[in-house]
Amino acid sequence: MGREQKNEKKFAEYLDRILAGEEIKADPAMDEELRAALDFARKMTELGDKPSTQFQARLKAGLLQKLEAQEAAQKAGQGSFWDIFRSHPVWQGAVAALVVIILLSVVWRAGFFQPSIPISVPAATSPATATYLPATTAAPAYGLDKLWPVSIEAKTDKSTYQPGEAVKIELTMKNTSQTPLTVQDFPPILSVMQENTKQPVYTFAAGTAVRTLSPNAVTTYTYTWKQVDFNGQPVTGDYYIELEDLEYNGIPIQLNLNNPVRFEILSSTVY
Amino acid sequence: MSIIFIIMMSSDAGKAAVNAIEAFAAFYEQYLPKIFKYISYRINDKYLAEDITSAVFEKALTKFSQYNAEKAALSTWIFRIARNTLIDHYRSNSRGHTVELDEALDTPEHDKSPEQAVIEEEESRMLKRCIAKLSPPEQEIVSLKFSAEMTNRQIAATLGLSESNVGVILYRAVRKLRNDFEGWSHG
Repeated sequence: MGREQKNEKKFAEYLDRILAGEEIKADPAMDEELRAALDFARKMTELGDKPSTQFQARLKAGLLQKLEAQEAAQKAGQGSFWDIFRSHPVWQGAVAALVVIILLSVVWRAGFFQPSIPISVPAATSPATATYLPATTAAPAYGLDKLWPVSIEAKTDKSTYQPGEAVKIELTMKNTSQTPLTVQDFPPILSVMQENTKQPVYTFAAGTAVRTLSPNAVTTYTYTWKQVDFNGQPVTGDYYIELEDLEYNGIPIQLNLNNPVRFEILSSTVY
Repeated sequence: MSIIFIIMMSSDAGKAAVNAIEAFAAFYEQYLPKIFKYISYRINDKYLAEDITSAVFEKALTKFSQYNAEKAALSTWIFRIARNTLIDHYRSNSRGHTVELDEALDTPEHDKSPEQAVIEEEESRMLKRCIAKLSPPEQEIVSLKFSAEMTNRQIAATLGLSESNVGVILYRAVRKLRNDFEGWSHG
């Protein structure tokens, strides 16, 4: 392991200890570069911004007020039902009648009023068996396909681009389940990743659209990248696409493309 | 039996409401300083950083009941919201990573002398300028490290990088910052 690599490793170890509040004793044998980097890191921990107390208090009060209002609205919903029930004898009678009907129905289905001689019914022709089987089956495997029943494809309009040429990335999302599916924050976050560094050079933020897809339905979106990085500077080289963070049922889902998408931006010196 | 059940439900809902408020308050106390620090590393305008921090917690509030501890750690969840909110900000702001350098001075802290507070304020301002010169991935890693105090492994998981890659980028970024900062303070 080279000196640089050793320093990188040591730096990570020492920095975690500094951030945990540990006092690191000066080691005379420590590499000078590493020592200087750690000293500066310590200084950075001291210089970080802190929110003002007014801001903290104001935001907290506002958020808790909203949360209380939400909770109160929920409680009020439950309370109003109870109030109506208590103050109206008609409702009390209706609920009592409903309870009696439900109890009678349960007793009837349990077979208390059936003839003592069993009636033979072929199992295969019983629609009830067919209907209720899935509901009584043990919970299905909680696989990603159940959680996220979507297939995603992306493609670029070309594999090689001239400098400055717009890169069009078409994303296609298909509902592979048998039920309608609603996707929020569409289109999803998409990053253009540099092949050499595996770092994002540009990221498209998530959209705000809500798309509802019926079974096997497809929706598409085209991102247009102007070959610039986060700072608006033009870039060249080899790139690929990554998607991340689309919410489904309130859970952030890491999206994986079915097929990798790679493309190249030619340098202006190539003719 | 049904009536008893309704009363029990009502009582449980009341307790749940109190618990939700207490839980969110505790969550806020724990993460507000870290989220603000994370955003401040990326946004050099204090008031804008406050606005974005507010937006992060507003989103967290609406999604708080949906949070599932089995899917992600709370810190990962809230920093993901913060990161997406920042990306939204950059997207909606055509100036991209433009840095506002003329922000108002923070209120000095009471336990420091006025001179000390001014020096730290100036150094903090300079540190932000130096951070703004780093590449976006370097800024991201530095801000996650020093605000969220995540381990390199946690940062790697959050950003989809390898742990060793995070270590390399972080060490080099801190050295760049040091050189830039020293150049300013000795200049």
